[in-house]
Amino acid sequence: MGEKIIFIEPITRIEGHLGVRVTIDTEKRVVKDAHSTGVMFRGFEKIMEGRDPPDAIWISQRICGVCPTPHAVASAEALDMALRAPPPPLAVLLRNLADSFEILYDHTLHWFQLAGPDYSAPIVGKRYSSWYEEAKTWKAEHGDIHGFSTIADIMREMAPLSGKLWLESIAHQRTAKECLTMISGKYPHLATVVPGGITYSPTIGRAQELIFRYLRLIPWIKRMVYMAEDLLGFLTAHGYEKVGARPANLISYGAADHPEHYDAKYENMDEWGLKREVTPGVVIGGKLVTNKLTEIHLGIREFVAHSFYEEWDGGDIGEDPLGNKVAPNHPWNKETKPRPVKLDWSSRYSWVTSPRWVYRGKVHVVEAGPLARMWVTAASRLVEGSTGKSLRFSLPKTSIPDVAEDLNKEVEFEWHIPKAVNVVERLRARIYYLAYIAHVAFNELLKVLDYIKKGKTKVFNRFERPKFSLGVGLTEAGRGALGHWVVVRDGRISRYQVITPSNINASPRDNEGRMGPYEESLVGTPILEDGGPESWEGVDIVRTIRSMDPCLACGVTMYIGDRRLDRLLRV
Amino acid sequence: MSFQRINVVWLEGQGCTGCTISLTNSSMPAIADILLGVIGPVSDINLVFHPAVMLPWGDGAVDVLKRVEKGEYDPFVLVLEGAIPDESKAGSGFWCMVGEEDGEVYTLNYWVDSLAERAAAAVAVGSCASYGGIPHGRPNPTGAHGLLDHLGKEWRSSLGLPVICIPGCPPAGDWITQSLGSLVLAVRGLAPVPELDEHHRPKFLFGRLAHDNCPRAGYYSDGNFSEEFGEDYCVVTLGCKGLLSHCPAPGSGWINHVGGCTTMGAPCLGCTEPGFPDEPFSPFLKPPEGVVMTKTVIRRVLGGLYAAYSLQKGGGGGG
Repeated sequence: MGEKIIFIEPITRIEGHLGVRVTIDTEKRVVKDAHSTGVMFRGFEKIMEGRDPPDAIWISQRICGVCPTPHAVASAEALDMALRAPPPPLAVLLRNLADSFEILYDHTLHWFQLAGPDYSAPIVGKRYSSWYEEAKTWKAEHGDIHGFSTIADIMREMAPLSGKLWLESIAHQRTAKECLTMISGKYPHLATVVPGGITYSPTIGRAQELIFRYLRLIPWIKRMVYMAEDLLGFLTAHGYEKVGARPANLISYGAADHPEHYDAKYENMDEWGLKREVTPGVVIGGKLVTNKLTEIHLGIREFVAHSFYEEWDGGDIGEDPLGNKVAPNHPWNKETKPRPVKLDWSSRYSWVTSPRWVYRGKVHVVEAGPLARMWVTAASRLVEGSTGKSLRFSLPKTSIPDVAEDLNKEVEFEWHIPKAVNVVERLRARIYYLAYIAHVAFNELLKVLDYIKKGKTKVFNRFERPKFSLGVGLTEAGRGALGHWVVVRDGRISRYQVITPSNINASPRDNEGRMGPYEESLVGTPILEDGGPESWEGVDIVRTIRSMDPCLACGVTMYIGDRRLDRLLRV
Repeated sequence: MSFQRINVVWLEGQGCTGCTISLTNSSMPAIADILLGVIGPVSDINLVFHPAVMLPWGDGAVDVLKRVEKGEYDPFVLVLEGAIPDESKAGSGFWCMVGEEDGEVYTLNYWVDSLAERAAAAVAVGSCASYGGIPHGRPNPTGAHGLLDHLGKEWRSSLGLPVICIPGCPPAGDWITQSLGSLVLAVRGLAPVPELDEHHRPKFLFGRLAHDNCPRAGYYSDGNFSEEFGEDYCVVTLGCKGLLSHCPAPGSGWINHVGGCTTMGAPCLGCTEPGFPDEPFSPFLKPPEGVVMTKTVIRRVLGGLYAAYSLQKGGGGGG
């Protein structure tokens, strides 16, 4: 039996430094083994220790310049809790809006600059030539709305630097970031988020400016959904749903807190978690098993058996503020003890750790991302439009010149829970999540006006620097579930731990040999690109990885100390 | 009028990609305007290597760098985003890998050192690349430093230019495009070489303090200070380091003239300065010490006296 090993480093068009090594059965044209490794370190955790707690908001954002807003929000919520400063309702809304505007840009970036080029004419024409020939005559179902009559037209306009969609998408991202900057002052890396709230209360003038600037994006968002449906329909018709498939084990922390219910108290976290516009929850084997934030976060464990770290002694946080047991390898107890050794694919091979989720004594490999968010929100029936099987929502009417009439009128969309988890469904969920968040943001913008009308314009409550306290901030970054955990002692940061979605998804095998989500998704993936083993470039491999939108600056944050990683050698 | 093509090689070291995202925020000129060559003098710019946007991956991406190394893309501008670790502290290992060939690792440092030899200009984008930034923060676990320290203040490119730093965490998109644009114009003899300050920052951007550019500076002069966040007054009392930091953002806004840190009542963190994020810039919510607070007290007293005097005269008060 023939086999070919492909080691890809750098994987470009992602955030950061990531490599994957796959073994392909060349006769069956299918991936039979995979390893994912992260290869750049900075040492954030050590840099945070001993600092004034509020500084964590600004420093932890700098883990990632693609998704700083959820880092700011998670850090702020951990500190709202630890420093006992529930923010006023308007501040909660403004943080939510900042987060929403980030999604509008971030998911667009992913669709057109990061993953998109893999589906553009230069790649498809070269590596899937027969598909491209078919695409030239494959009619795009919504062509009259989005303006591209065939699938090949869409692919051509997605080409980097030359395609209309590629170029327009950058201009729209900028508009989304202008909206964000009207709240954050600066982006990437928000200036205005502080423990207990935010530093700026918009005037009625600024609020209107924000709403109307935001509305300029709406026709583009509708257009993206129609265009994505057509492109993904073409891929599905060619059997692409086998690529990047793994079991439906998914985790979402939820996002967009309710301005009146969020009180930053751990004791009430389950209650205010259920009021989020994006529902927290875990899906195991396609079934929803919990929506409780305490259960979700207490179930998190971090394993290091295949990473360059030593086990730690177990920490000193025995119980959470409710008296629940906190496990020794929960982030509140985690101690980062780096132990760089020579890279060995059968032993230790990544700086990324292996977060897993434990439920009723069983360890689960869970995937984070927009598909998890959409699945949990649609299944839970906790937000308007959630039917248990689908999520219905609308986007408002606009009056933007020079766009198709169908894009200016109010449109209702419905996303259905898919039968499986794979590349196509991850891409589809990402575009629908973008549209859902645009819907959430519109309602929140109207609420901002309402708060201004009622004179509830306060955006900050004072915080303390306690002798001892615990904090946890759980939210959703573009790439999925993001948690910040802080232990404050003597008014300073004693421990700060971050588990990012790419940490979860890019994780190596755990202590019992379970593969991480990237690895699981790669194993079993068919090689559909043209040609034989000698000419494979691994397009189906990088498409699988990029469907989970890696962010390796986020994935490897935890390294401390002055040790080293021995020279990485191909085995 | 046609110009020689200028290639751009953008490397990422210990960074977060925030500078690249900021580059896509640019509006005047927008990065697309530059790459598409909308105006003649700043046209024929070719981005040959950028890990976050380029089409090739793996061996295909490394191959581009090898061709740059051989001179196939001369003249080129070397751009660095992210800090440079101290690989001598990494023994036989590495801190930051950019590609491999037959299992042999290429470090970031390898490419920086090799490509700097041929580069027509070297530009550090962001505070990490300029001065070390966040990875350089106490206790600097990886020995991170910026391009200016790495190559030295005396270093000159093949065209005789020193390292150019565009600090900020990140710098605003327009600072990057305007700096690169001015460099292109200078190389083509269409504008003077941008004047740099002692930290190699273009003076046209970093010539004045954030405070001097701040729309709330008037409140500072009048002794009006915010007592908590969300108020409209000067925030030096809440930790703003605008008096220590050279930055145009409060005046020019952040994206398309929208935003600005202190403009929105946020404390300036000093992110454009060497030494960020450590003292005296952090703790970020601690007011800057010494001279600043003395001035604050004096201004408060003087402002109050002036107000009382104006009222007595039947005027409108001191602001």
